[in-house]
Amino acid sequence: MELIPLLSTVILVATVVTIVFAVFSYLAYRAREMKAPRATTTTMDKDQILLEPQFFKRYRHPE
Amino acid sequence: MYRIFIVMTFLSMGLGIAALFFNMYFNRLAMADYFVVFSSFILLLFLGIVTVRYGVLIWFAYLQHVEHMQEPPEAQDYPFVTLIVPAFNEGMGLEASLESLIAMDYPRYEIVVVDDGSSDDTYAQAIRLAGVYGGHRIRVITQPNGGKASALNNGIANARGELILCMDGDSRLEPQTLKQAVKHFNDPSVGAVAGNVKVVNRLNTLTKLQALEYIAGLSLVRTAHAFFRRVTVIPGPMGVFRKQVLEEVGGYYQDTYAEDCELTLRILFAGWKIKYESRAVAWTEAPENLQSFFKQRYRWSRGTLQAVIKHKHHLWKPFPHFADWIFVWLMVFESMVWPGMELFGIFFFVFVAGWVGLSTIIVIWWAQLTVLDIVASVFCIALEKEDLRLLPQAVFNRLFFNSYQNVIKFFASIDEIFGIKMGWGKLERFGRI
Repeated sequence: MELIPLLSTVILVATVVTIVFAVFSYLAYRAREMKAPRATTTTMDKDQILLEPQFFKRYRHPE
Repeated sequence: MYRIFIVMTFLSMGLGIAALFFNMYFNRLAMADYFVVFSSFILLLFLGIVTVRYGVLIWFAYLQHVEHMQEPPEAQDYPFVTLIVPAFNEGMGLEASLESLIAMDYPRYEIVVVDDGSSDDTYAQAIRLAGVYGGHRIRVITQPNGGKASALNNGIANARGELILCMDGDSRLEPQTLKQAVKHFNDPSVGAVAGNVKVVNRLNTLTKLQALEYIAGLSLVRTAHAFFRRVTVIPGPMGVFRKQVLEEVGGYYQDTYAEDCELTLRILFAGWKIKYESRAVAWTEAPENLQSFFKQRYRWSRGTLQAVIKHKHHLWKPFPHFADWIFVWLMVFESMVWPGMELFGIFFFVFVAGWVGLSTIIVIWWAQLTVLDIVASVFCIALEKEDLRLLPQAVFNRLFFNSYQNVIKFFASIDEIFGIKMGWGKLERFGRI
């Protein structure tokens, strides 16, 4: 078999397989996202400036 | 309004392609010759744009490198720097990360670890390490889980330094990183410096491809942009900012999934210059499997698009910041137009090869792109004195890696346009740093 048609077949197959695989990856990702529980997180107001420091348990360096 | 515009664009492209197919089907004998000429023209146009893009990037990256060689080798004075380490479930890699910060070759700095409500032993590890290395060097803050942006903002609010280094909790910095980054702040117009992020876990083909991408893709673009003092993305693992600049622009916002990109745009539009330092190195773990890789790149793509859309009003205002305007449009081109063009190119040449049997055209298309990738890779590997063994990965770039990413970018753009919800997720880490 000549080189150019062989190369073009390899490139064609590799590209098509990659794209199909990527599409299936996306569908799998969407399926996982729909199943995953949604964690509640704090949301920031768009105009909010720097947060005030929040200390859950303040660390103090031992004197 | 922009969604209608984008949908109309895709619709008209689709109708145009359908009309072309319809016409070709009914006139296929007469169309064959016409199609050979037309597809050759499309190939030349596409490859011309690609070649010009690579040529421009390499040229300006080279000019930046020449200029960089003439700069002072390191900082002449040492402003106090706060290193902020936001950590969410980073128990596995936190010690290595903090060890690298303690080993920093810089006389005046502090480390602030912000535990973002971790469910593992991150907070306990941080407290232990603060005790090991001296509490005056490392301070630990903990907060209810609020996301990376809020953790960074908390760190900034508590920072004592004139300069602030923001990094990821799973990154490792090299000892010279801080000195190399700080020297750029001698220029009072510089508001921030982007660091050089490299992949540490080069274990399989996927991570080696990412390692090469970071060197020859992301770094090449940043180096070229740095010549104009307009880096458009300061990477999360390594960025140094004037505290004054962060306070002026309002710190990190949580309304996008690429808070680093969005912050960079705000700094640029506030009139500050942003430089890039190739010797300010941060090592990070890249995703080792396709699932993690997909999540990361999907988030990056959507986040970048969100950041651009958030600042879309700047797209139509070339003045007073004309140079920034150009670079934002370049960002739109690189993140949205370019992947679309590459995908279109793939489909077009696959169709041409299958329908008309012009198999040569697909080989020419692949060969030219691969040659350009190799040239860019050799240039960047030589510039950064990196591992030449990464070069063979450039052959696989166009066959698999690039196409895979372009499909991710395509779906991410569609999901963002139609407002489909997504979560942050947490990338799997193996503590390789």
